[in-house]
Order: sequence, then C-alpha cells, then structure tokens
Amino acid sequence: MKNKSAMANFRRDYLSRWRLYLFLLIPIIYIIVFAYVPMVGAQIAFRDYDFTKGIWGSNWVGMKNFMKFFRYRDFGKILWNTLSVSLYSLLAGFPLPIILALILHSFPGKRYTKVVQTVLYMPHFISVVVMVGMIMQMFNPLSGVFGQAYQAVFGEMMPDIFSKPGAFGHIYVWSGIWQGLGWNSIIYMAALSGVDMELHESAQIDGASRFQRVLHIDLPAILPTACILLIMNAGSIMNVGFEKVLLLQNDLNRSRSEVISTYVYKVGLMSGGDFSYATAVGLFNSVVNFALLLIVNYASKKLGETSLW
Amino acid sequence: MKLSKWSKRSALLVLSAMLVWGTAGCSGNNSSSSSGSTDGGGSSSNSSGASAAGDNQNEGGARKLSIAIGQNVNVEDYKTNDLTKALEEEMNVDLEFVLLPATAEDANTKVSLWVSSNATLPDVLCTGLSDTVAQDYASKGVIVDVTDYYSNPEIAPNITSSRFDEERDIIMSSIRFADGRYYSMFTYNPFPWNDATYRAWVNKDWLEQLNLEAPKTTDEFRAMLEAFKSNDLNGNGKADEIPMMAAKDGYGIDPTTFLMNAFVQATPGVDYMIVKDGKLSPAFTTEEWKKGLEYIYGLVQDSLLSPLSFTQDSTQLKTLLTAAEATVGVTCVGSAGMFGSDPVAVNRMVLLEPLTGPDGVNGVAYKPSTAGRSWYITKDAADPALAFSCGDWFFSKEQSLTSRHGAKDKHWSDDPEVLKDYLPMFEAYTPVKYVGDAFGTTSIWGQPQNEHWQGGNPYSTPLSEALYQAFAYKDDPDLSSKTNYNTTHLDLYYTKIPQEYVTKYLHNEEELDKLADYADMMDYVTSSMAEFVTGNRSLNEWDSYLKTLNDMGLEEYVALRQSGFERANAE
Repeated sequence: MKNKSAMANFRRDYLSRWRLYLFLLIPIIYIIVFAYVPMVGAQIAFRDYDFTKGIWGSNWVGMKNFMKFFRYRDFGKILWNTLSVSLYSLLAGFPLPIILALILHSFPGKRYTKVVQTVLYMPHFISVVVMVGMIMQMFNPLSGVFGQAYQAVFGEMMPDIFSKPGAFGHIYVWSGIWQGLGWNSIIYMAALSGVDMELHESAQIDGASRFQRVLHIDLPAILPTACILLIMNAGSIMNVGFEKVLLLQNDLNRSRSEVISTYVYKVGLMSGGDFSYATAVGLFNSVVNFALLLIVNYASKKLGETSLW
Repeated sequence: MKLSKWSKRSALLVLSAMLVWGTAGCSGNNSSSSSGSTDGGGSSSNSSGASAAGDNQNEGGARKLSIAIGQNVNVEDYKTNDLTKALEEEMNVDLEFVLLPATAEDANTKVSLWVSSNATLPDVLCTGLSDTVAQDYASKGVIVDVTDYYSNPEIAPNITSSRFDEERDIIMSSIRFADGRYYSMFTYNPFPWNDATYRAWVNKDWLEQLNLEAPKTTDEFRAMLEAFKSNDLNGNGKADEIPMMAAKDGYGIDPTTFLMNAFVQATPGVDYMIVKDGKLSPAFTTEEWKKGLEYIYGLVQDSLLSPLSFTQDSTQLKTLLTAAEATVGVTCVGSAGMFGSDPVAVNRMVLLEPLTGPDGVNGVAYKPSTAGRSWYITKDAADPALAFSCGDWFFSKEQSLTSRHGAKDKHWSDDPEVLKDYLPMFEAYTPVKYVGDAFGTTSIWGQPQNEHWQGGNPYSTPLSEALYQAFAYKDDPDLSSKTNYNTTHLDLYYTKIPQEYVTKYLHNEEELDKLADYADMMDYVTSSMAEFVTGNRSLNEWDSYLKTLNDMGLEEYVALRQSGFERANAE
C-alpha cells in the first residue's frame, strides 16, 4: 500500500513533468563534466605526481605536501597577506554598491540615472592587464596624470606608491572598487525595481521623508539579496585576484603582495613544476573558503533567517 | 578550475586526433618496419639499416618523416614552404607536419598529453622542451639517444664538419643531458651583444655641456650624476633632470647590475654566483656586495638614482627616453630600441664604459650564449638515423643562413662582388663574409612569409662566422640614424668579462626536485637588494638578512648549484 502511494507520488511529482527535468539535465551534465570530473585530479595533492605514471598511478604520500606548506617559512606571512587583502576588499567593497544602488534608485530623473549607471559599469569590461597598465601609468610620479597633478598642486614630486609595501592593499582594493562598483550595483538595482510603488506612495502620504523611505522601504527590500551575496563573497574570500596581484608585484612590495595564489603559480609553474605541492596549497585554499562559507551561512541563518540552503 | 576544464577538453580532442593519426601512421610504416631501427642507441650499423630502409621505400616514393612543430603566424604553410621543399628534394623525404600550439609552454603541455596517454608520437619533436621534462623523457625512453650520430660523418656530414670545430665544446656541453648522453639537436646563434647585456648609456650632449669626460670610476660617476642634477642641462628652466634611471624589467634592464659589477661579479641570470677555481660562491652574501649596496643607497638617498627604477616597468622608462626633450642622464638598458626611432633621442645616448670600484673591481655581468636543444627524435621514429640526417641538413652554412634570412641572393648574400659595398658589423672582423638583414630592404624575419620556418628548425651560425657579418650598405640613405654599437660594446664590455663564469647549470632529476624547494631564494635576494638600496630596509639589518638566507638553506642551495655547474662543465 505504502509503496504504491510513493510510486504514485513519484509519478505525480516527477514523471508528469519530465520535460522540465530534461532541461535540468543539461546543466547537471555540464556541472558533472566540467566541475566534478576535474576534481578527481585534486587527488594529486596527496600523491607524488609523476606524469608518466598518470594521476592514478603516482605514489601516495599522504599529507606530506600539506605539511610542507604549513612548515614553509613564509606560510604565516602569505596567509595573512591573502586574508588581509581580501577581508579589506570585502569590507570596503561590499557596502558601496548597495549605497550606490539606493542613491541611484531615489534619483527622480530616470534618464540621468541610466547614463550614470552605464558610465559607472563601463570599467568592468577593461581586462586586468590593461587595468594594471592604467594604474601604473596614471600613478607614475613623473609621467602619470596624478603625478603631474600632484606636482602642480604641491610643487613637489608625488611619492611613489608602488614602492611602499603598505600601499599595496589600498591600490589593489580601491582600483577593484572603481572597476566593479557599477557592475556590482546592477543586481541591487534589479531588486529595487521590484519594490511595490504603493508602499512608497502610502509612506509619502504618512509624511515620510525621502531618506526615511530609503531606510524603511528600499533597504529592507534588498537585504535578502545583500545577505546572499555576502555569504557567497565569504566563500571566495581566499581567492584574491591572482593576475592583478602578480602584475602589481615588484621587488619592493613583495613582502605584502605575495599571496597564496601567486605562491602556487611560482612553485607550480615557474620553477620546474611541483604540481602536487601546488595542488595541495590550492586545495588548502579551497577548504578554507568552504569552511568560511559554512560559517557565514550559519551565522546569517541564525541572525537574519536568510541562507543559501 | 578553468584551466583544467580546458586541458580536459583538449586532452579529449588530442586523444581522438591521435587515435586517427596514430593508426594512419602505423599502417604507413608497416611496409618498412622490418628494416627501420627504433633504437637510437644503436651505433653506426644504424646507418646501413637506414639506407636499406630508404632503398625499400624508394620504390614506393620518398621516405616519410613526421615533424611536430610550433604553429607560427609568420609561416604561411609548413607543407608548401620553400625550406620544406628544398629539404624534401635534397634528402628525398616526404615531410608531414603535426602542429603544436605557438607558445612553448602550451606546446610542452600538448606533448606531455601525448606522452602520458601513450599515443604514437611524431618522428621528430621540433620544439624546445623544458629541462625537467626533457630529462624525464630521456630517462624514460620517450626520446632516443643520438650520441653516436654526432660522431658519424655519414649521418651528420654538416655537424661533424670543420664549420663547428672552434665552438663544438660549448655547443656539446650546453645540450648534454645529466647522464652525459645527447638526446637532441640544437639551435646555436651566438652574438657578443647578447652575452653581456647589462649596459649603461650616458647622455653625451650633457657631458659636452659640462665639459666632462666619461667617468671611469664609481667616484667620478657619482660626481657626474651630481653635476647632472644641479644644472639645467635641457635648458627648460625646470629642475626636471633625472641623473640616473632604469626600470624593474626588460632586456638587460636593471638599475643595480651595472653598478654592482664595480664591486663584485654579479650576473643575474646565473643566481649571482661567483666562480673561483671551479668553486661557486654567492656574490650576495659578500662584504663587497654590501659595499655596493651602500654605494647605490647613497645614490638613491641623494636623488641621483631615481627610486622609480625599482617599481616602474620598461614602458614607462621608454616614454622618458624617447621624448624629444632629454630628462635622463644615465640609463641601464640592454637594447638601443629603448630610445625609439627619433634620431635626436637615438643619437644622444652613448655606451658608458663599465666603472672601476674603490677596490679596483671592473667587471661586467656575463652569461655566454649557449646552444638550445631542439629536434628530439622520438621512440616511435621508424628511422632515427634518417631523422637525424634531415636535421643535420639545416647545419650547412647555406641552409643555416636561409633558415634565418630567407632565400639566397634575395635576402642574404655571400658573393664577394656584393659584399665589397657593405660596412662590417665589427671593425676588427673584416672583410665582411656575408650580409643578412642589411641586404636589400626586405627582411622577412618576423613577417608573414613562406620562405623559411622563422627559426623554428635547428640551425646554427657559429660565432666564427657571425662576427664577419655586414652591418649596413655603405650608401644607405638612413645611415645617419643607424648607429653601430657592436664595436664599442666589444671594446668596452667584452674585454672585461670574468675569467671564470657560469655558462649553465645541468641538474639531474633528483637535484631539480630539490631545487624546487628553494624557489623563493632568488626572490628574497632581489627583494632585499631593492629594499636595502631604496632605504625601505636599513643596512643595519645586513646580519639578519644573512641569517634569513642561511635559514632558507643557502648552503644546500649553493651545493646543488655547484654539482649542476660541475656536470655542465664535465668533459
């Protein structure tokens, strides 16, 4: 009896809607082929990888590669560099798109809003290499735009920001914000456009000022979106933009600009290729990311009842 | 993740391509499999075997040879290429090309995919392989031992010829493998300009204005920089003169190497190792190095050497060097191309002689040109001797020049009637024996063409010939904007090369494995150097710098390099 009803449920819930599930099959296959299958290769983190023996034939070495990383002289430094620069960019970069979206949304002129929005998200399409080239050019104390402006205003040469290790984080984070601000605000703009105008009208009738309406209507409306994005960002906190760091790196700021991903590149690709070690470091990176994702998700669930699952 | 997706995808593609191609290759070779030797280690008996195989196949047409070679946008089609046709005709072979990705790194990846999937390989890998990978393939029999061919005039008439007598030792030692055998052919095109690249240039107009001689010692150099700084030499009313400036990267570009060699032998490309009586020791832990750092720190401190030199890239330096108004007094760059094409900017800078330091040291950074490995014959080659002979074909004087310049009498010439109208590259090396790029006005190097393989094949013009090349046509209308620095460079720099030096390190697999653990050693040295001289770190911390190096395992590192050095120099 019981079995039969389960079967009936299955038929009702799934088989009758098989066309929809057929659509689902495409992304599932995509994810399996391009995300799960390559993950099999992560096992070389626990092996001494030798390409003639292949992934499956190389010798197991257990946690050796991980221990090597933890005992690495600069382990603490590059971990701290990675964490500090990404936390900084999360803290500084997270609220700004929200504020921008709220401001843009409360502008009366729609045409003007559109223009501002378009202008602001243009930089997103600049590639990293070009972007870094622009930063280096513009902030050059001699030939750069800012260098010359500084000279004109203060009458002396602008200090070279690329030679100060402490300035690296600021350059990295604020150029990232400049580039991503407009683009990141798009999703909030979309969430805001779903706010019922009747709420605004009735608030106006009750005598709420523009700022009060933003605070009590708009902000709560995008809060769930913001939470989800925060959780997702926390899950990629260790993924500092690798190309950009590498390109901005020089002999003088290396003490602050060496992060886990640039280190992986150097040991894995540049020096003969210790693939197992590089994979172990990369895997460590992903595990920390995953743990952070879980923690933030849990916290968000407790505090605001928004979570990924 | 993205990368692995792609490599998976391309692995599948390559695999399926290899399946099709592999079976085709097998069936093609079946007819001759009885006579073709697959063991390259075999001695001269191979040559008879090879010619027998040739005879067999001649009945059915030319012998087949498949070559894996990197794609090049400047080679229209390898199959219809003039160089290919000449080789096919003279050696009676039918070449097949398997294209590899254009960049060396991707080509290496593709080859290692073939190898790790046990696919049938092309007869010849006409590409560079990284040291580690080549060593691995050799020890696992993926590429065959060709040592015996190198002494067999029947198989290799050109390589065994007297053309290479003078430089045979340096060629053979730079392509030898850690086990003392040879597994490849080579490309070797030495030129003095490329061996001592860390050059300094000085603004000769400024020297004239100040009535100064070019400095010989570090003290005179400093005095000159001070004069550059305190006078308005470009006459624009602004104190915008930069006495000395370089950049952090680029060909021969580095603010410290030229100066440091007035204190201690310092060559970046070989980890700053000094050789004395065959023993290596690091330069960067010596008292002389510290003195050098103090000297350079003094220059930076007094705004004589711009600290931007350590952070800006060569593009930004070039902006200043190519400007019509001179702002830079001394710069350290390897190529005169950094001065652009404006004759004013090009002609105002002249080579500066290497300086003599307070202790009388007067050296240059020196790393001689070595031969690069190429043309590996694989285990699947039906006739390794034939493959070697075809590679050898490029090593005649004529084919080597064609490989670099293009068709004879069109892009290069060695006709004495033509040569008498050409100026020599080096005044000391006359009469001119050939003219290449300066012949006519149509160099096809780096241009889309179908006359040669853009240097993709092995070939060689040894130094004994290269020194006798022409610089320019004597009535060239553009002669005034072409400056020949080669003779000056030979006199000023080449005379100061150290007695003993590192040419290359040759490590075995075990050592390469261990070396990977010291990947950040040189980063630490160059970072510390920049920090010390810019004042980001006080020189009082010199002892802690030495201690950190010791903690990183400097002693073991030097020992590893020592054995690599000895192996490379072994007879």
